[in-house]
Amino acid sequence: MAELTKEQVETIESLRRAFRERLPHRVEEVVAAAGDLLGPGEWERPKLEALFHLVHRLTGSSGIYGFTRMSHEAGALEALVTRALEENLPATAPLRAELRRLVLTLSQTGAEDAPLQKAEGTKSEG
Amino acid sequence: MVAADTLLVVDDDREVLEMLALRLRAAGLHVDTAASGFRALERLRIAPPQIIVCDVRMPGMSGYDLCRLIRNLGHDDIPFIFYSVMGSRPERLAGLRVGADDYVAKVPDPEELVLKVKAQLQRRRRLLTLQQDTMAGPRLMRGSLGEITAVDLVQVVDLLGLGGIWIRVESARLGRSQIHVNDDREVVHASAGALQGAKAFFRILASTEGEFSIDRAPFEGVPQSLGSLAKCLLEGVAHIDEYRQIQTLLRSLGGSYDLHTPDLGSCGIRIDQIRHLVETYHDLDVVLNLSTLTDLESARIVLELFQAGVITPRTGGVSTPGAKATRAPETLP
Repeated sequence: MAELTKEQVETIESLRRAFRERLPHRVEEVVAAAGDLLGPGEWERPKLEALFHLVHRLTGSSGIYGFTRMSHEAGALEALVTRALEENLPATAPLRAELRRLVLTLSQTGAEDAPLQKAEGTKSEG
Repeated sequence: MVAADTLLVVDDDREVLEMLALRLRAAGLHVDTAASGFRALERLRIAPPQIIVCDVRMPGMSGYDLCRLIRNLGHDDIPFIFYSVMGSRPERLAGLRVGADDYVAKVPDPEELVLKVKAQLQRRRRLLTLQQDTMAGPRLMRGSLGEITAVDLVQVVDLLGLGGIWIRVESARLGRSQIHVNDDREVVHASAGALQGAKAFFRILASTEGEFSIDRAPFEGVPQSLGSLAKCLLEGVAHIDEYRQIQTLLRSLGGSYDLHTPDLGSCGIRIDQIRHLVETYHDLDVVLNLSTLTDLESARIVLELFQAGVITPRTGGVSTPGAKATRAPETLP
């Protein structure tokens, strides 16, 4: 893998900083979508799909931006929502409780758990 | 206009696209991006890229749908790599089944992705050269494994629809090994040293070093069909990364082991078999060769036994005769 230049490292860190600033809002969106889904009665499929898309994007983007714990927790929630969608799982009390637990864990996973780090294998151009 | 050797990255998340494109450009690749499968098809119509890296789950058109469409449009020559947080065996197989060439996990450091992209581009260049040379004579291709892997070679043969050919690899570890693909695109012979059949096929596919050649010549022995080349390749590719990772780890631990707790009682036929082989032969190569399980299954059990402290690295490492050994179970991993 080619070494990153100082300029490239700075660009990456700048993107990561901006991403970290947006993370709380992204998590809030997931929490809100989950709250919307967890109303009385059966799952509403469009709401389940909306939650899936939000959490799927959070899993992927936080992973690629190096927020691995956030990506891991979002991935666990994504797996549950995927299963609910693909297997048409009914909104049982245990499933609701598990979904609430995963959302709570995600909301407690702050961006500070993944401090910005200098990218690996860097070199200075200057 | 898309330039030569352009990599098209497809992902519905613009943040991912931005970061990934940056990292890939930093690795010296020329990168174009598309935020949906539909945008990717537009790009493809205007100027086909040389390789595509794509997310799996996207709204509207999934990565699987896009890959299938691209193949149905006749773009078999464009390598397609899935890049996703998903990565379980069924998901990898699903990707390969719709026509993808590889599957890489979505992680912060895209080194694996970069290496696989470069390998696929190299394979594509060789494929184009080979297409031009195919009619030139019986020797279609020869060289050293390194920049090109044995998987690349077999994929080239599959992509070109070549039949009546021998794929040969010779290396210190593997000895003389060869695969014959008949005119019906079936693998009717695979041998690697004394190994025969599916185990030999997988061992050849996992080769990363040695000299290779592809020759047009008939098969004159008794055929033992392993199934279509496409099927053998699909099964092999789905397991090869994990096999290599485990094998690399085991070799870093010495590659030769002692049974630390020999009197555990029975742990099941499969585990008992591996324990017995380790206790008797110590050497990883011999254990893999003599096991009736597939290479991946055997390697997984050796690793589990090591992690459980049942086997330990052999001090002073003993070289066991017969590393290029005997039986050849007829199952792919």
